[in-house]
Amino acid sequence: MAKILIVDDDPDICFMLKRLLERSGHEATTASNGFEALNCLEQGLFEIVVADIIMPDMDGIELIMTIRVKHPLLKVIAMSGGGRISAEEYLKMARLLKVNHTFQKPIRTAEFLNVINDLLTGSAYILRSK
Amino acid sequence: MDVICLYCKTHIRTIESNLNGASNGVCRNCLPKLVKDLGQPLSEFIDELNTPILIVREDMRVVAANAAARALSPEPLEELVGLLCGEVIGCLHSREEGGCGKTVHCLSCAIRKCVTYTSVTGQSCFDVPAYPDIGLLSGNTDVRFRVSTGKKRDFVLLRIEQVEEAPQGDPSTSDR
Repeated sequence: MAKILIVDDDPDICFMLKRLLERSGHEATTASNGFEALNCLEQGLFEIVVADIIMPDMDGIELIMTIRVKHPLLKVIAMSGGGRISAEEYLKMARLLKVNHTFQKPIRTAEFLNVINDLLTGSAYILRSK
Repeated sequence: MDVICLYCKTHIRTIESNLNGASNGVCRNCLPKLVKDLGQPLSEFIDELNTPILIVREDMRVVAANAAARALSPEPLEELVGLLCGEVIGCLHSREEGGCGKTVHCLSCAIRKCVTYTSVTGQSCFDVPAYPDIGLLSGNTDVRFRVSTGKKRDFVLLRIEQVEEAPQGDPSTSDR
């Protein structure tokens, strides 16, 4: 069981991802933009952040940059369905910031849960070796 | 900032933001696609419900049952499939000559009436009181519950709720 923060401005996607993670035994929290996400990270210990890229107020790129400075051990998954440019272009930017994994939306359940589990195996090692 | 549907790319709404670009959402028409991608399989969802649910054919034979319904019978799921409803819930008359649906008591069986009505008319039944004769370990045969039915394709979804043992000699269960 892990604590996972989901950041997406769409409430339906947040809800579905939260339910999916909870059904898999994880504890999931949602935030609708980067500011809310940073506030959550200040208040609680999370192992993984799943962040959308294009969001109002503070977007995912700015959020990931801040996470890399303030919470360097945190695992980050970036996701995008595209917008003015393709999803892959947004995700390329995220990969430059050394996120642990990227997903193009729509996300598929099995692949998403596999990545979460793989990251947790790695994060367990990091936490032990601190 | 525009919000466009992740699936069909239609414009959903415009929100105030200093940022350029378009965010993703899911329009009402495409919500089923999101549920299909990330949602829980229906069989798992039904299994999590505490209410016993049986999927039956018009002839009252069970084709599927959720976990709560399976708990009503000592038989494993593969043994339940094909049984008659009375056999699954342990109705005493299902063990009589002819079996479930063939005894004189079956004429007034609320479960059978609801399933048949829904199967023939397509109309649902809600919270219909039923007083089947079920042999419990306690020796009490007065059990009452409520049944609801709904039709999907050729099958009837049978929901069993508010199961309770009636006090012995309760006059309300004497007239079945």
